[in-house]
Amino acid sequence: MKIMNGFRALCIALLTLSLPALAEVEFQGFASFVGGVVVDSDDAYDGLSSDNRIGGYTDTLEYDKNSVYGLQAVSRLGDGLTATGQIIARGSENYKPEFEWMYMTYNLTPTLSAKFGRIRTPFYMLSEYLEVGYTYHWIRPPQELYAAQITNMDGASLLYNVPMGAVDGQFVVSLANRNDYSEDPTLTTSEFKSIVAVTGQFEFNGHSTKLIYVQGDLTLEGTAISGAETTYTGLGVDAAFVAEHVSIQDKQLIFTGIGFDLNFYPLKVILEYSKLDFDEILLIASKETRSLASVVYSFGDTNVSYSLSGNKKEGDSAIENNAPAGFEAAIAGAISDVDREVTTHTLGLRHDFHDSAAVKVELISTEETKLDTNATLIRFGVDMLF
Amino acid sequence: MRLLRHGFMALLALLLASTALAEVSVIVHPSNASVLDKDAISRIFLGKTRGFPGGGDAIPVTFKDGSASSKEFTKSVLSKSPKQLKAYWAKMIFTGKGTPPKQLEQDSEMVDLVSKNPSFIGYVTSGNEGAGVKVVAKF
Repeated sequence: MKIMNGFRALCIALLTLSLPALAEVEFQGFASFVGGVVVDSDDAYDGLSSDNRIGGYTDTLEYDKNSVYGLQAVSRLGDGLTATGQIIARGSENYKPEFEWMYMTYNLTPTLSAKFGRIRTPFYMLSEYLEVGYTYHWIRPPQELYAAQITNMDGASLLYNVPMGAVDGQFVVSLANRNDYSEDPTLTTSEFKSIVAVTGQFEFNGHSTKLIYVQGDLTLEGTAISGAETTYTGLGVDAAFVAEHVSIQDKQLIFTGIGFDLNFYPLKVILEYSKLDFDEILLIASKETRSLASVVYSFGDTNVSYSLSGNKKEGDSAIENNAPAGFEAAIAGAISDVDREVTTHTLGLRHDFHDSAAVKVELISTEETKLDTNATLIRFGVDMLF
Repeated sequence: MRLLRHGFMALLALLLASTALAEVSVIVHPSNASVLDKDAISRIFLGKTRGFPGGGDAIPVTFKDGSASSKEFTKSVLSKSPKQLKAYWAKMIFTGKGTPPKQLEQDSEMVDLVSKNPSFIGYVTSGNEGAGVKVVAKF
């Protein structure tokens, strides 16, 4: 009984205490409404689309592929503790709202803070505000570089701001896991686990650079993979080879990247490069390099930009050395099957017609040299903050 | 060449415009003993640190976008255009790294606030400092 009374008193105390705190939830949002249409492509255009190279656009004008709506709620609980949740609805996922982030931040010192919960995977220069189109000049950053499907992960991170003379340094170390990251319905398992991510960002006089390192273990299971396992086994390839190179179980991925954001107003230059190294897998390109260069010139509220982006995927020829006798040629063929080389040119125009809103138009021309396919896409949209 | 000329004209216009804006004085509570140079002030107002270099919590307070002193402070101390600052805070907000400083409308409100709380740091148009606050820098 005493316990019940105590419990009741505690509930009442918590309710009265938490009411004023709850009143301080702040909401902020962003939205991008984007339409696009493929204006010119060759016969092999379907392949482009399934690779998501042109964002799934077709020759019919569509408005859902890159449209995104986001709402963020922040509650400052006092003493350096903050709760942040961000709900995002993507047109490409049928506007199904989901918690992109949900984390607590605790300020340990004026320059050191810790985050716990669902946080962003820091693969890129713009990773943390990838959906907030208003903050950059593209409608969406070029897919040749900004290609990862794993946008968030569950774990903890430490953020340390270090002033070094005129240079502002910021270091982030994260440990996390991500289950069921893929939207692909044929995959029964899509996991990226034991993620260790370290980034260092340095700002000087309006310029900044970011160094990125991410490692983690990938597991994929689904009809395509089990089908390949059955096919190879059926052909008589030994089980060890299938387990090692066909199955995708706890395969390590190492991601490294570097980016520069240089501001010589009215001119701005963005350079970014990243490299992915997978353990020897037959079905995914083991080596991938991604590059991006973009130049932006501003005339007051309007800017024009040109971007060149590239993505090169290569199978790992080392797998060939492990090929069982009699299967060398087939394995070599499978390795080169995943080779791809994409080059994309993007011409962009942005006009800020309002303090919190911008209208953008892009002409994107993309070419793949291994399959010899190309397409031209026109995309336009409005980005806003609210 | 035309682009270059355009850029040069824009730069010249910016330089000329700057001379027309008023000087701002950065103010803190009289008990605040921290040495604050441009970098230190900029870090506090951009949410890169939550403390004064000499210790103690630092809470920046600013003016509504578009006011003359806000424009001047954004340009000479934060080295950003109002648009760049807007985009900067959008990044900070949506990455959960921080929120922009509280915005006031009047110099007198600013002086009143800063004179009452040692954690606050703000700025006013030079000449409007009044009593009860300490000027740490002028830009």
